[in-house]
Amino acid sequence: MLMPGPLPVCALLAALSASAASQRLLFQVQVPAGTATTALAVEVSRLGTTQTVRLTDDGSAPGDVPGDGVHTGWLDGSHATLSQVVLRDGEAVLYAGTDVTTRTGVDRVGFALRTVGDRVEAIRAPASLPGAPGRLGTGAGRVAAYGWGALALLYVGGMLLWSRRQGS
Amino acid sequence: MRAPTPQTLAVAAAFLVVSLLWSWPLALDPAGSVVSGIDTWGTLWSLGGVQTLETAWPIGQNLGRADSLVLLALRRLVPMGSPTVAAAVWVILAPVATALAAEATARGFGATRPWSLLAGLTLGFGGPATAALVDGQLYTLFCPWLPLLALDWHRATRPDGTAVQGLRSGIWWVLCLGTTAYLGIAATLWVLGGLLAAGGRRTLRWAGPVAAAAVALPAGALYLSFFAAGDTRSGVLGVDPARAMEVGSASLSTLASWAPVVAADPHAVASPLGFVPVALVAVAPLVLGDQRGWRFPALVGLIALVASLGPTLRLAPGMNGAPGLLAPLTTLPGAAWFRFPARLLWVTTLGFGLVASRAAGCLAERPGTRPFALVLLAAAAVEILVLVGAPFRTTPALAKPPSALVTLPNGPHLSLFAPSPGRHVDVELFLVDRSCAWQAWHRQPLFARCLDTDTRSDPRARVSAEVHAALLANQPGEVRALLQAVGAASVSVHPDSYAGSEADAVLAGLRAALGSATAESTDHGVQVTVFTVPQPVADRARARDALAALP
Repeated sequence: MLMPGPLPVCALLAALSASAASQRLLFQVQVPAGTATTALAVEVSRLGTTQTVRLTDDGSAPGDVPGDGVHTGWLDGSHATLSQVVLRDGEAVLYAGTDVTTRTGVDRVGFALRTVGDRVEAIRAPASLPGAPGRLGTGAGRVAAYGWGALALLYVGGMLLWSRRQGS
Repeated sequence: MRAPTPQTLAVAAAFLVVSLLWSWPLALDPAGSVVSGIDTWGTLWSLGGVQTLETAWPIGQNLGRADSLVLLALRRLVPMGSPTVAAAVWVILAPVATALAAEATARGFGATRPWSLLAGLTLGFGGPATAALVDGQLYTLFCPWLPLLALDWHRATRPDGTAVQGLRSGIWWVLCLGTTAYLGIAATLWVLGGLLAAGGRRTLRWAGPVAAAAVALPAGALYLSFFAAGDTRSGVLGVDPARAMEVGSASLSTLASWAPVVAADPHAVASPLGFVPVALVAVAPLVLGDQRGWRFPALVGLIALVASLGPTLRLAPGMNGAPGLLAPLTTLPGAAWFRFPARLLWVTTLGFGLVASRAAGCLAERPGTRPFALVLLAAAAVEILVLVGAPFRTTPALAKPPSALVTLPNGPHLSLFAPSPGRHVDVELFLVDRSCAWQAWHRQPLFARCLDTDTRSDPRARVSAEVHAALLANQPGEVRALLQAVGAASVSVHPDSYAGSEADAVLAGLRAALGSATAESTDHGVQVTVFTVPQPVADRARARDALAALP
């Protein structure tokens, strides 16, 4: 006789709960056209350890579009709510700061490069794959929302016309 | 009290399903995680039932800056257990209660089932509710009082209105104000609009409004005096009111949909209205025509919508625009307190929801249109989840404190972070808020002010600044004497908040001052090291004198 195993739902819940303890930090750097970089990398210190992540634009990161100017890299590890992040291009430090990374699963840390005088620096920017952080994704969402709005208005207007025609 | 009918139970079940999806994946781990938001931690502190005398040690704090007096009162009346479980249950059930009240109100305004569900969906789970969820202002989600006020006020201001209806309206208004000040302002807009509308029709009987005022005016005055006596955060009144209101205002794009850029701001102001109710309100004049009871909710909703755009009418956040309805307000004293005009959209979602349910019902009565109207109702539910977007805008965050903080020595506790780490003061504010939330577990007095938290002027900021200065000057004896004098029994250091070698320097300095660390942990996503302070001053008055002597 087969012994009843754990309910699939319970197994699923356990798996999902376990995944809450792990975290993927996804780093994205938007590099404007014409801005030369040598070797973008992020140095991350959290929970007492420091690791370095190389950032590339070759499509190797999940969801990355190769050659779109967004350099991407990721770091898997235990969930940490606070990270010290240093963004370098070769030896040059482009950004150094503290980031709150409370999200379990995937948390994104985005940057955009800008040229100030003869030097390049990085600013924190909302991250949104694919494409440029916070731009393409935002635009697509807006277009979809307005499209849906127009459809809803047409639908309700159509119902009104239909009902009037049926009534007459 | 009447037992709920099977239909009402079915409606409640439907709202519960929507709520579980709306707050997903919270239901998977209610004991360990909370919806991540800037105000989540403050809400957890409130749910923890900690006395305000145990914050801002050794001064203490009053309740004048409490975000929600209703939440604190409910916390006292109802045993809630673990703060995370209480927060999860609250997030799942509070919108159901609000939606049920809105659905009942819609029927009171003449809508029929199932079309009255539109009102519940729009108010309980719509843009403002989702923004409150994303921000962590969970107490705002429980506001059945607002639709109940709308219904009773509608009845109280009719020619056959009674004093009892007015009395109930007054009570609902007080509960709105006690839930949050913004909800109180929203309720006031509805009440004044209703009064003007009834006065304009010359059908007003004064018994109802007088009874309402008898309850609301003393309670409102009490609330204002309470607020005025609250501990004021130094930063709020120094802000340019116009700038503060612009950041917290809606724009045409945030009314249409949300976007990651907006959600990345500290506070969420994107409150999409949903196009299904908007489309139904747009055709309401053609569908409802001369019928009674729909014009006022539509009009007050529209006025609130325009007011929510704040002092500047803009296409998108950050863009230039034309002067808005609230532009004159920015010159008034105290205008800086009204930082989030977008929260007036509670009135809009209530008004538009009521009108949409009436219009949908009226359309569905016409020959051959019922199936199309049912599709519209289903689309409204999908729209709530996708377009308004709560499941995509929220993420769970681990809420339990690190194990090193659970068993602190008895006595006041100082949390030490890097001052304004990185480039954002919000990081330090987050650390303070979270340390307050953890007080619900360890229950030791904190130096941080936990209502209207602050990174500049509260006892934690002042003592931390002195400790850091003494550590920097390599004076461990000074550090020890200072901590003893202000009554600190323990100090926790969050090394991850310091850049580079600063953490090592702080830890080495504290070891020299206090001896070896008594606890360390890296669980629950937090690295923390705890030191015990030997023989701290136990007398609050002496600690207060020592604090007052600090620069």
